[in-house]
Amino acid sequence: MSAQALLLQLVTGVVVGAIWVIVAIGLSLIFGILRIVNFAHGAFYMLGAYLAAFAVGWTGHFWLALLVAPLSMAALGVLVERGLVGRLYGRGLVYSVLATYAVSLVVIEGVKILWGTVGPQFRVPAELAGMVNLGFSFFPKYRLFVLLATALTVLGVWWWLYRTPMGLFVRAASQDPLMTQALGVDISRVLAGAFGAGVALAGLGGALAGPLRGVFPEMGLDILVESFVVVVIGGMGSLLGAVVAGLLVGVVQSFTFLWAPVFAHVVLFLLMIATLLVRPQGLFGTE
Amino acid sequence: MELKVSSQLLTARRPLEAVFFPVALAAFLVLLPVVLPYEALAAQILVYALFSLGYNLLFGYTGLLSFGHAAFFGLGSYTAGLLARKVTANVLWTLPAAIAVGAVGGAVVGFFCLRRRGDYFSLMTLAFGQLLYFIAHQWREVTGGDDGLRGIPVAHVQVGPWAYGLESSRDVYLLLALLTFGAFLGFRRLLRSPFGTALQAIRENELRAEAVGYNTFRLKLWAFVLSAAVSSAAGALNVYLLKFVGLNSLHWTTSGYAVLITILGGAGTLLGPLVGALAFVGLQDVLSAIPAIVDRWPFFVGLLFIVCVLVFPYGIWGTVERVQARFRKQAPALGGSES
Amino acid sequence: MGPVLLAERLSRRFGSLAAVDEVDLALQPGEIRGIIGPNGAGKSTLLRLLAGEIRPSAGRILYRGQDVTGRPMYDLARRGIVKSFQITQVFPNLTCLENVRVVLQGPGRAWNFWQRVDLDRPTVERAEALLAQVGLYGKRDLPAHALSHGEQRHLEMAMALATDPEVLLLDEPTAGMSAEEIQSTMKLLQEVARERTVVIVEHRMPVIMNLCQRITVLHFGRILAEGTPEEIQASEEVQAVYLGRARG
Repeated sequence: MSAQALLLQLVTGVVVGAIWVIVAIGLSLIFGILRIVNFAHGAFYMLGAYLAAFAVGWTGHFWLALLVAPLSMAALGVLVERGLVGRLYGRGLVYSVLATYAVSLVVIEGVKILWGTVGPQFRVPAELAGMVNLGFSFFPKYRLFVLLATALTVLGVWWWLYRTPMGLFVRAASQDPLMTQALGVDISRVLAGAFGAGVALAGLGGALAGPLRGVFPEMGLDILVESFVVVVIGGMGSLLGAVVAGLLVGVVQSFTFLWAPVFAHVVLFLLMIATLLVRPQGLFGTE
Repeated sequence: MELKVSSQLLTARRPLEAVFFPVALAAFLVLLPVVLPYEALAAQILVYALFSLGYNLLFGYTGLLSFGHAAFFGLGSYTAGLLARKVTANVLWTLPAAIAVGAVGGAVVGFFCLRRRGDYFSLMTLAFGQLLYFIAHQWREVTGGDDGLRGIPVAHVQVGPWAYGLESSRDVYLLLALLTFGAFLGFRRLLRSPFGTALQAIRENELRAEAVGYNTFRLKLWAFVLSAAVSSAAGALNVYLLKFVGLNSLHWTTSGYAVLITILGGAGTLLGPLVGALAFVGLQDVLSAIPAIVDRWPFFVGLLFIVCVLVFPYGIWGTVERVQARFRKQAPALGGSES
Repeated sequence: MGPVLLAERLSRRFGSLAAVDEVDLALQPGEIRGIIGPNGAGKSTLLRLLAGEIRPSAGRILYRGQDVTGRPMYDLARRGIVKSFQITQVFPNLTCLENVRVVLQGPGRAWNFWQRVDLDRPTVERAEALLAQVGLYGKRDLPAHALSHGEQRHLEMAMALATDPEVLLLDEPTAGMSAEEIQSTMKLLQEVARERTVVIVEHRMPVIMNLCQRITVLHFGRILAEGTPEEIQASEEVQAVYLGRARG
């Protein structure tokens, strides 16, 4: 196996991992702050892809689509949190899992009702099409763009959490909701905002993944479970964990595809189980 | 665990009630295929009822949210299907085999998952479920992969020279009705036994249960095994009905249906699974007959579920029992309830 | 007979913090021991160690002469050491009667899958008797969550008694109670303590001083003083630490 082939596999894995990173950060954020496991995360990923595809279809501007998807998901997320999820806080984990799972059903089936079972076309935009010479191999320009987008997103989230007042409230609320409230912060706004931000990231992930994997109603089902894997390995509620674990798992799967393709999907869940048994809080979790 | 349960509790029983429940259940099972448009529908309801019965033991009565129970349903299905194709389609072999495989699967999965609690437990069950799904997906030679297991011979019940083929849905329904009757009566007994009450104590407050001397890990593991065995049986019965095993029976969305039906019917109640299955399958059938809806029925089920979670957390039967209980408060000495 | 429960140099560390630091405790059978100390002194942690809820970082625990260090909580409970909790821990959706009965039936019978528990009159009657002892017989068919806080504490007491423990560890049994409830609880505790060894962690001085025969004072995880209520009240060290709370 040549070094170039290995390197190519590595970069491919990193790109796959990049999408997972974005989606997982959103999931981790929601878990860290609201303490709920968002089973609708995949559905929002899918919606983001759909909206981005439509936006590109109508306006022809990919960059606009990349903005529209996460923003509309954020708005929808806030609605869902206020209307449903937020009413279940006192009731324990079970009900929020069930509620988000039901939302997932409704969203996915709703999409099928509105637009049928075949998704819209979502082509790589012209300016990002084609290959780039990386030295050891040619590589699709779009995939590199996804990497760049992910890096910027991670930076953006980090900056939001650690350098803005809103982010400070969000972090404070995750550590000590009572105290944060006592300090005069409207905690319900913070929670709604956090949920919105989390699903916005899912939507962004979907928008970026659209041209790569195609857009169809069930595209979120697999990513949901895959992002669980990443969040568990990285650590619930940890930004760094989501990044490291996402990339790690992407690379691991990529090489598994190369050397033992039979195990390519199975390896994810073996890692998840191993993590839960040996170090349930994940690499960087604090639970 | 803040699960909303209306567990009807153990108070003095009237002798009439001991007879009432089995009679009412038997009447229901006899009338169901008559009332419904076709037997296959009634049979499907019972399959899901059994699946949820197994699930409810773990979820509603022990308080453990498993999101990987499709694994056992699927294990039961594939076991029964493979045995039927390769060895024998005699139910007296395939059903116990499916149950045994499910029980072993439950023991293994439970052994690992129960090392953790709460979210981590649930996530591990999900991981195991998906693990099994992808193994089956890859192992095409055995499972048929995406295409599923086909060409399964019709099941039959054979004792020596006497054989009864389960050709039609009505035949399958007969078997299902008998097994459902036995299962529900058995569970009723189980839930009022020392074991059953110990499980409920664990659901209510595991720490306290441990503090008074219960080895909660072992008890939970047994609940897991039993739950898996019953779910596997349901999987096998599903094969007798459909004569086909789809890969989807192992997917986490199938696990989701078990959760849905259990909550819809009423977690922590004996009849919840039956009521939930009736509502779920019934709704599915009614909705898919409407030309505008057809395959999009899960949309409405999802909506119903959201309403349920918000307004009727105790589920259909759970709410019924609560109303009953409030009524009966007038005469607590007489007490008692159906489940 | 020697001490029924003996702790030797018992320690529990959380990171670099020693919540319990080299505590020696010897409980004589039938004794009523009080454990007091300012907040964070390690009282609850000590109780949790003795019950097997958490494992010690160092030291030994001997119960009736046998080394039970590190054994899980359910094991110690079966041997006779039972603890009640700071935050009320009952079975909320079960009736009061069932709460006590499920404890009475005993973990040994948990492997019985077929016997009808409601037809087991002897156990049910004993459960009713225990409920009567704590004054909850009238509410036996109500779900536990419908009880007031004080009543739930009493239910907990009935459950603890149902295990027929030799050593009863009570973590702030009067927490959150009204003056009236405290009175009835104290009477109950006196009755309960008659044939058992009881250890009570409390903040309320009147309760401790009136009930206990010996008092151990903890401070920063270590034993500051030990003696009869009079000795403790008179001790200057204890007064200094407690700043005005030492007077009953």
